[in-house]
Amino acid sequence: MVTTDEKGPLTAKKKSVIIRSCDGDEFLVSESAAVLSTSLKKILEEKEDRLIHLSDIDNKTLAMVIAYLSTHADDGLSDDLKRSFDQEFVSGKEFDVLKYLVLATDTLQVTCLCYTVAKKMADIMKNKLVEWVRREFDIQNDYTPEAEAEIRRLDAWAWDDRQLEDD
Amino acid sequence: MSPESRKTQKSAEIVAANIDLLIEILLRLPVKSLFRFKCVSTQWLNLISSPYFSKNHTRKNTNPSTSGLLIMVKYPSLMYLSLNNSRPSFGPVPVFDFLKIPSYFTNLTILGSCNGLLLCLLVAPPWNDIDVIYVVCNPTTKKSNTIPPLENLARKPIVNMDLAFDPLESPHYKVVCVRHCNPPDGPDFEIWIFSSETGSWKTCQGPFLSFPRGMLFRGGVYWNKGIHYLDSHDGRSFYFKIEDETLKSLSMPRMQSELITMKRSWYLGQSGGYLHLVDIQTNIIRDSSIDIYELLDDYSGWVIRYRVELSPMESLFPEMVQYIDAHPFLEGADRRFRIGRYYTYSVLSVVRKEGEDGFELVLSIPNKIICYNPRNGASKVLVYFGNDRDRVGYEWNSVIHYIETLSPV
Repeated sequence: MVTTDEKGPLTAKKKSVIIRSCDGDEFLVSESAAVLSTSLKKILEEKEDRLIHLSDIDNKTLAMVIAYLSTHADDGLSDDLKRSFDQEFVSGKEFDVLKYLVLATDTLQVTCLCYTVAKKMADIMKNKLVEWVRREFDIQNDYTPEAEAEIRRLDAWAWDDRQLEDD
Repeated sequence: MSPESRKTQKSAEIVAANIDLLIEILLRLPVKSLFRFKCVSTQWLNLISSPYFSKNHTRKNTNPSTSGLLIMVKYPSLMYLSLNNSRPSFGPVPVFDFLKIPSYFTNLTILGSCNGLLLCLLVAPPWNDIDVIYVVCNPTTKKSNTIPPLENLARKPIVNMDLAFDPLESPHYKVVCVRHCNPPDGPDFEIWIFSSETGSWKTCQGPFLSFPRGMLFRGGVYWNKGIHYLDSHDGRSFYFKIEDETLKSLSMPRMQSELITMKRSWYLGQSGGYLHLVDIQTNIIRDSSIDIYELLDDYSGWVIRYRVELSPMESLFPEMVQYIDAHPFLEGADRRFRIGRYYTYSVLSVVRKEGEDGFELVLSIPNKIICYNPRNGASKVLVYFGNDRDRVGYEWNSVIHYIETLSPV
């Protein structure tokens, strides 16, 4: 049986990892925080390398995700505090920032953050105009004007009673 | 194009192209927004309309709040009262358009509603092969499903049917039907259950014998995996537990005072996961109150949630007060000659929403429909009929909660 003493130096060495964003910034992250991301956990299990390079996450987004992971890895914080951190974390963030964040949670496989960000995005979207949604998601309208009018007619109730926003 | 905006555009495209991410976001939108966003593109239309998405959305939104009340008034119209806080509205909706049911049916009755689905009885003209059919429909998606007919209806007539649906428990719904068994007007009953999962009826263990005379299993409300009936005899009613197919006794709260109560009526309804019983006791000797009870999960009793005293509401809504004059000739005369007074109103609904303050009692009073929050005492006029429409009154048994859901039927 391996005693904790024998394992000591090894765990100490394993304690942190360096994560590099696509624009070259490096972040020192505790391993307990990194493994909350399913993808990072897999990488760490597969190779010895303590430096992980993420080719599609920029430094701003990565810094946010790491702040989230570190908070959630902190055993000293209660679940209630973590929940209120989550609320704070997404509040006031712009839709553009959230798009990057949600993509990063997908790449890094951080499910709970993905749900929190998706909820926030939905909250922003819910009273928006269709045109706003198309613009924000860069979607081409592939309806003919007649087909679109028909859809609007069928679900007229959904359009009637709310002030819709375009910004 | 600047590098920054090109980058932004790229993220937008990637999010939109990542179907799993897109679904995670769409699943968190309210039904109303989703219906609008069908117009974004044909891809969004297909995503939002898919049965997979409907099922998942229903499962995610297990506690949707009531958007409004449907009031059955004069066939073939329904009145829709929107409870949208910023802009309440009230107006007729044609029932067949609303439910997208073929108009060759000559009558339609909404028997009940349960978490967004409705159970309706449709009557066809006599030259039609079928006389009556029962359908379950979703007024949001306008989809409906005909329930297969029960056999042997002449010998075992239907007493009542109720809908049981809770997306928190299952994406499938059940219809619970109480039928007479021999003789058709006797005190013995059978209970049948239709399951949307199997698409068929089955009979429950029973029969259920020797019920008090006049017991007709009225006012059924689904809550806590059972149908709760509001048909009380000697202070007790019944509820039917669907899983174990048992009919159990349900004690009702006691009266405040039998001596002074002139009239008593109940309201039974489910909202926000609670079963509410409103005890309405009218008395002329002292001021009346409306008692709102909740049933405890373990059926150990009703707890009083709020006692709404009516006298403070009198200054806001003096039309609620009716005076009993000592002599008919003295009508409208000095208050000194009046021998009593009582309040005119009916409880339309108890609507519970998320959050601390989310509790509303919807009342129909002469000329108005109002809502009253017993927690903070705030009241609001939802509909004002004007002085020319005297004494417009609706009753709770013609009121149905409209809850937006994508749930398939």
